[in-house]
Amino acid sequence: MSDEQLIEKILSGDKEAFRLLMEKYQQQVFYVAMGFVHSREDAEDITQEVFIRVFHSLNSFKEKSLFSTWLYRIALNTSINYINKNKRRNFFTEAGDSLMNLLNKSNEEKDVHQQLEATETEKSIQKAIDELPVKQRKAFILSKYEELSQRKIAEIMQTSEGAIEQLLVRAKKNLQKKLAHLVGK
Amino acid sequence: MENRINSKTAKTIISHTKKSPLGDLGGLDDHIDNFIRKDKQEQVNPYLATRVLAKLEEYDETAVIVPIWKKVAVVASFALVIAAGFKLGSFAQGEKEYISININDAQLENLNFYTFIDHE
Repeated sequence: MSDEQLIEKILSGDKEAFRLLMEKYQQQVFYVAMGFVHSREDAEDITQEVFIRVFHSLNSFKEKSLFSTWLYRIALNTSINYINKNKRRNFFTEAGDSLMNLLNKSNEEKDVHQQLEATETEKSIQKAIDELPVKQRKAFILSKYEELSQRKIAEIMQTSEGAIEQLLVRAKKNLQKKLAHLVGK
Repeated sequence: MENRINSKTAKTIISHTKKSPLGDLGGLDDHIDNFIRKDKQEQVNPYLATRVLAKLEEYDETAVIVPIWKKVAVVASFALVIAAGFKLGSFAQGEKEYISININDAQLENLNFYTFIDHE
């Protein structure tokens, strides 16, 4: 069944059609959210919020763009809002998480030093991605997590393909600058 | 240390291998790809759709709980309070007493005082 048919059914009150629509797109929305929060629980909260928003504003969807484009826009905005809302909480949970990671990993067989190094690398990458300016971050996540074309990203972010290319180039430069210490590891 | 390349060589490699905007990030590419692969290993909860539908039903129920008569009662009580205010205001107007005061500015500050020689 096409998205248009599903939307028509949902608008006429068919909740099972909404379930089908969710099942079709939930993994994509979840990956976008993961790109922003890097935590399964938080990404699920965002995915849930996205679909609740979609349900409540589906009657305002004008079908000027594809449903997936509209959905990605909502997913990006919801993720950004979620991060802004939870900034303070994250500071404490991150500290707790890294401590737990260290404690858990020290029980495993692998070399502790190697594990620490791997954790540090992951942390650096996460920090570098999270510190990208919002537009660069959105373009980066859609390109790397969703593997979308520049054209599709431009549609989602309502800008030109050239602008997206520029954003990706700048994101790349920023990552290179912030992660220069990892080259050669 | 033998496996490391110096930063100048790394920059040269990066500039020569530039294909797409996010193309080759030098040695970083593997690190970033590994990080993203790990993030993407997480699968969404299969019951997420059920959870969302349950949440939506909750919304529906709370919407039904507020009956129309309550809304009408709130609007009516506001109207009653406003009408009572008007009525009380008009009662108070009839009982007011007005006093007129005749004030002469020349008396308040008599300039003659300053023109008398005795006071200079």
